[in-house]
Amino acid sequence: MDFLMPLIIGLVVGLIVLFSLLSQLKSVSQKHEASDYVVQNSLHLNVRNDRLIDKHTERQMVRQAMPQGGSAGSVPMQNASHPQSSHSPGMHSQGHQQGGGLTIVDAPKNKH
Amino acid sequence: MADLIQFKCPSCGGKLEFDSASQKMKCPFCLSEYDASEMQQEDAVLDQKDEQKEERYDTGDSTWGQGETDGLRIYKCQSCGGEVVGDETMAASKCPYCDNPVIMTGQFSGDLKPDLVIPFKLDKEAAKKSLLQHMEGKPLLPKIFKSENHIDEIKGIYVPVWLYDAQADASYRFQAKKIRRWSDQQYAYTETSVFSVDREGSIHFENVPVDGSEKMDNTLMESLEPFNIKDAVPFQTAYLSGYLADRYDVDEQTCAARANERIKQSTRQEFTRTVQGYDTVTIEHEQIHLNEGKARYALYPVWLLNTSWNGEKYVFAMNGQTGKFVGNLPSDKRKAWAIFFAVTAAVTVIAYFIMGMMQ
Repeated sequence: MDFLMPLIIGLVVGLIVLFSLLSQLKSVSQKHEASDYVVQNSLHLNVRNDRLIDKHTERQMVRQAMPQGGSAGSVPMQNASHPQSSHSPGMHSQGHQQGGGLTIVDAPKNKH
Repeated sequence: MADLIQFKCPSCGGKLEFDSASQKMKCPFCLSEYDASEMQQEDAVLDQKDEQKEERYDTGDSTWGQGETDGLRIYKCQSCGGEVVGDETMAASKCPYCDNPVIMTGQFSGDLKPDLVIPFKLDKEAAKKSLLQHMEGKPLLPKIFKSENHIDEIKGIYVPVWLYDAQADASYRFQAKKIRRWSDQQYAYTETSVFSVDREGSIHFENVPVDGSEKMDNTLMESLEPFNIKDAVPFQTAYLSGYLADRYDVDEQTCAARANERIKQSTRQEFTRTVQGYDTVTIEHEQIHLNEGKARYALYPVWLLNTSWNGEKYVFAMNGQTGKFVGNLPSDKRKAWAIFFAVTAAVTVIAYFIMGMMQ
């Protein structure tokens, strides 16, 4: 088993080297774009709009801090139905925007 | 019968060819040089009407049997009277008997007259040299290919291309995400901000080339890009003297589909590039309208080199303007496996020792 990881690394590096050497022999390929033919500074934007529509936070238990018998997992922290505007120390505030309005929501408190 | 133009040296009557080094018409016998514009009067015949074009197809006084000339055109060399036989698209060639360059004017008259031509800037020797350079520094290329390889044929050919101009009016909706990660002693946090990003606008493209010749491989032509259109000059038959040329046999409408495909892909890339500051960007909605479309007909200079090895044919091509050289090469499979196993073994042993030292 001690030899398995070095062998995998060796195979991956061997394949990378092989494919890079093989790619040197191929120089004929189709062009999929026309970027060489874009007139300089011809891109004009009439609409330029960036809207935040959702913000959520997930937390995952760090392995070292895992209590005995517990399992690390992803815990979604958002709770848009009970928005609160207060901040708890050590807690992260998150924005949640739905239908154009921005709401600040606190993450649920740590149960430990 | 007035199908062919042959440029003769006013000094000695020898054949005049376009010289890529001096960008002038040169007589190989007395070394006189003439500006291509001095030969312009020869092109007056190109402005004849389409009805007259049909006169160029001449099989009258030859010994060809019925049906033998289907798909062929036969011309009479004005220097030696020999027959020059070509397919329906051949527009410039050399007489097989006296080697004089001949230009089939009928292939460029009326609507078939190209708008532009990029004259050759590099000669046959440069093409040969580039082939040797192309084979350098490639460990997987069979050595025997390089040593045994003989060039079967080198030809300088003007390839017909359609050049498209277009304005793309586009409207996009992207979904973009910003991801922030941090952790404390107990948890790792991932904050994802989702944005709806709208972009609307226009972008302009000029001279997007599409190969207008059925005979020429489209992928090979695209691999030779870009050509620098700034060096293009109004078409004159004098530039073709000494080279091969074809007229287009794929029309403007058919080629437009390929140009549109490339223009749309680039429009997509350019608009996506305006969405910055995000970790991921995906297109949710796209609408592209191409308008102000315009097409021009041009001839692009290409050196074609044909070689054969192990019963297979290999085609290489060089951009006759920029010198860009392309062509797929064969690989030595035994050497490929040897390199793969050698690298794998070496890296495995090194990794084994490094990991052993770390434990």
